[in-house]
Amino acid sequence: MWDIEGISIAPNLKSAMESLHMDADMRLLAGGTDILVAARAGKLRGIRLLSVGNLPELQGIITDEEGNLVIGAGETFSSLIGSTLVREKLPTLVRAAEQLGSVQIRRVATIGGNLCNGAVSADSAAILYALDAELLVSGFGGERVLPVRELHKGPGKTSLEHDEVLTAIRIPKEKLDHFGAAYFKYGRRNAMEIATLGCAAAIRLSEDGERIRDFALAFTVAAPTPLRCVRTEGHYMGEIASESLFREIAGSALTEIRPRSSWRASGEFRMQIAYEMAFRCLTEAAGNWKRGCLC
Amino acid sequence: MGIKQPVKRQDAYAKVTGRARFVEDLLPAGALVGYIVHSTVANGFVKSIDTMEAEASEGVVKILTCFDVPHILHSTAGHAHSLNPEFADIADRLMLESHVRQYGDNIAVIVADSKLSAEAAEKKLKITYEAASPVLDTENAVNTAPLHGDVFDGNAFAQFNFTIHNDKLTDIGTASMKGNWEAVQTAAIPLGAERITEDFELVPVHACHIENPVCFAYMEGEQITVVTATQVPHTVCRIVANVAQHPISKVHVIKPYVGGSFGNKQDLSYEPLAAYLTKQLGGRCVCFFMSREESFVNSRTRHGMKIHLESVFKGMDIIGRYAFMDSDQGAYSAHGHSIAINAITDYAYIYPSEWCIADTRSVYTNKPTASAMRGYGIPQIVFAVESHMDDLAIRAGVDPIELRLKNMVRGGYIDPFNGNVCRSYGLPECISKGMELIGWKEKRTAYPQDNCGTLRRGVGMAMFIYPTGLAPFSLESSACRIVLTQDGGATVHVGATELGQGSDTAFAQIAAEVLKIPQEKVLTVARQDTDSTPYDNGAYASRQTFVTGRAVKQTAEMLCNKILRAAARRFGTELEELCLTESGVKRKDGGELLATLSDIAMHSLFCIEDSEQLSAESTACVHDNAYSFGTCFADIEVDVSLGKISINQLVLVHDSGTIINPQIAESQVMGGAVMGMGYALTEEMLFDPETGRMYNNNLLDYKIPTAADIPEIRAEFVETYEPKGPFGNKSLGEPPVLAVAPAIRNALLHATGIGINRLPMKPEILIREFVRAGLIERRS
Repeated sequence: MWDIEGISIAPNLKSAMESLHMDADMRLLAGGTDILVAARAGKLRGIRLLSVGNLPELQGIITDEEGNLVIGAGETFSSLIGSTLVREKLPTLVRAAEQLGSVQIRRVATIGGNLCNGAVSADSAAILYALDAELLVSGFGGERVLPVRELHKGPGKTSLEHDEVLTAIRIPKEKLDHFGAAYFKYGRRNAMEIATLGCAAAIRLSEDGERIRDFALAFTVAAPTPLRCVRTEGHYMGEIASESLFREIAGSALTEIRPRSSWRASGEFRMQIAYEMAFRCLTEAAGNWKRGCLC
Repeated sequence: MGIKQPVKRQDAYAKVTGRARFVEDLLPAGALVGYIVHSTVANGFVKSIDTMEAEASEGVVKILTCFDVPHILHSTAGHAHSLNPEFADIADRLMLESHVRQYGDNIAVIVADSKLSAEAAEKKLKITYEAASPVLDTENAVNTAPLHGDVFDGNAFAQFNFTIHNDKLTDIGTASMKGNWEAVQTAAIPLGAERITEDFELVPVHACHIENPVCFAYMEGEQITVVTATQVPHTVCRIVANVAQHPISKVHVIKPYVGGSFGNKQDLSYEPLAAYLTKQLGGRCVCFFMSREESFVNSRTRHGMKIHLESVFKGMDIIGRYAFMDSDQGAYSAHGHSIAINAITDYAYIYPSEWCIADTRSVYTNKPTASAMRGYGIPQIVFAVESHMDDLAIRAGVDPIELRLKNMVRGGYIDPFNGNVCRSYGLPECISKGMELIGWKEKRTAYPQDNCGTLRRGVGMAMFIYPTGLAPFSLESSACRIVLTQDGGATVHVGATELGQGSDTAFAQIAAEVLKIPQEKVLTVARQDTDSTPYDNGAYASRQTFVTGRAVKQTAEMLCNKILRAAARRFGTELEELCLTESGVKRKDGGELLATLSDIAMHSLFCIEDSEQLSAESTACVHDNAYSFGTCFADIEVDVSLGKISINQLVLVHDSGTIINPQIAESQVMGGAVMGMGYALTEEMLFDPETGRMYNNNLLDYKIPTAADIPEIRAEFVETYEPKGPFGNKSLGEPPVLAVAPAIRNALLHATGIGINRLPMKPEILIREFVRAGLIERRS
């Protein structure tokens, strides 16, 4: 038994937005792997759930006309893992997906839900931040494109309006074509784990592979929201890519993150591993660039 | 057929297909939900509970508070009744408590038509407390106000101290033995001996069995039936009768399939309250299904311990050993000081030096109650002792295995506490086999040569001695009944409970062995029912195949005799001329088949003149103990910069005497190895120091290893013959967990030079130690 007001299944996207618009006590349910935990804890008393996970408008993994990779928000992590398109274009996301929860959770949990839940630890967030992914959002008032880096507003909070639905995630062709990427999740176990810290790097080297032409470094659980190390990125553009530079970048990144201390792990400990994770991600991302821009 | 065979578990198909019925599957329609209201302070008193509004809440049938239940102090420990009141378990708890001793203590119960109704009603209760700061540490607790002032003057409620000199117990009692230890040092050190002292800390952990503690109770006429997931149905019956104030002959406990336990269900949970409530409610069924969150806090934990060890040694000779142990009991005594006693006697057994001196105490704190959990105090002491041995080996400049071989217990050892003799002994072979399988000699030399980068490898080992059952300290009693079925099979009734360890299958194998009946026709009744099941102390102390196994063997032998007697009567011959074979009853001379067992059973049962059900029943009372031995070897890789240990391989070698079922035995070792890994690396119960509330009482934040974390595990056996076991067998249920954590710890020591004396060896602690030792640079 669940302490909720009710649950219904949206027949289509339009009706879902209408229902949301009219009902301030309605919340969307996709895979339910976060929502039902909250319901069990009695946190959704009085809430009506609207199931959207299976809406056709939220399905599909395609390359659009411009060559961007577009992933339906309702796609489950196991379908991402199984998608030849994602495996080919964005294998780092597959690796992130493989580390999420358990087999059972990946079968139902969706990438849209992972983002919209607003968790700072979302396994899909670090790599999407690093690649400047865009979110396609439909609202009662119309559609808009929201950079993923503007989604998170604090633990469990997003910038989506109540009647807005995330329909798809778009990863720019330019990133997929020219960058190497890597993701590192730090957890205590190999499954059923929320990241103690997550780190993703995307890097583009000069033609000769000598210098950093462009790069991005993103963290999860290192601040109240996922973040990019913007100042560090600006500072090291054009430098010669080397082990010592990657160590320097990792050190610089520590000045931009502020992981909190909790009984799960101290901030000091998270800083310690953040350094090593950033270094390893940069090294791996550069290696992936050299192997042919594996994102 | 019979023993030593990899017979499939008799419950395997029922469990994997979902046909096995557990407590929650048996709940009658219309049962009421018993919902416990837990305190939101850890230490203090409930001053008042206003139930008026809650009682009017929809679906609520009854609310009882701590002020409404009878004042019957009792223990929840699943021990056999002690005829000597001095050895009785400590009665220090009530069904509901106004004196709150832990965060989440049971202060009231709401009986309602559903859990949701009860939850809604709970919000309408008005509860006031007089609260004090929680005392979560044993050292503070001994100096603060007694938590059980009506039973004990102080929180250090039990001591067990002793001095052993040359394997003779020379001093025992509650007075400190520290003076004796000082004298040993004063004598030895001027003669060139050295001293090493170390401190170890073990935090409480939880068994995390899949099925939480669950029970329900209802009445038929004056008869109370309690259906519960328990290891000790007959003990539940006795305690329920006492607390619910009902004649024991009118209390009836049923134990269906149990979904795991590891000792936790050797304590009662809410059975007495369920029985008491059904009496209050005209016999209506009331159930208590603990949630996972409750199970962490309101069932039982493994004792947290602080262990201080000292050794005086000269070269490779350990002259004297001293231990001081603080055992954190938590809020209520449950099994009380038995755990510390079990641990500290094991401390004496493993390395019998000239002097062995120990002081122990159990201390109440405001934590969840600690009690029985696989290993019963010995995982804690084995971690300390085996870590200490490796550190001692470094100090003495010798190989840790050489040091152990020089000082370890030998066959023929006589237990200084009770005179029991070690009659079977395979420890040296457990060591040599483990060394060979892990590649000890090569890796001990090769690994350190490459250990300069962030990835470092190491091998380590640890070992143990472990008793089988509680004899001769305590009663070991098991009864068995075997009935010859009409199809010539046998049904075995025992009071010992299957909780995953495979005992039912082992009993069926023993019966099949003696009766020479095909294995598939022998079944151990999986469900215990105290109205009809023979008496047994229950499942604990790795005793079942040793004690109950003996009952099954002797009962099967009696039944053989009865079968032959029935056949002799029928065929007009003498019993001595007949024998039982796999095809049935034969003449000894000539081997002519007289009748199949089915013929004998049918003829005996339905004979108009002289009907008799062929069955036998007997009780085994065991007075001896048998010591099991074993080793664990770990090969690990440490990522120093990330503070991560990954295990390449675990090798466990056990001497458990004759192995009754090699397949189940191997699985038991695998499970124990994984539990030991969790203890070593990830598991700990964490508490808010301000409130005493447990932070991580869920399976996301309390980290037991997942399938994705399991390394290669090799389980091997050194089969000795234990003369006191029914077929040469001795304990195996608990031992696999014992040596895993110290083996990993010693492998870490080999890999990095850092010895961690606290469990779990989590990344945060490793990083701190690595930074301190200069292995890595501080980054923050």
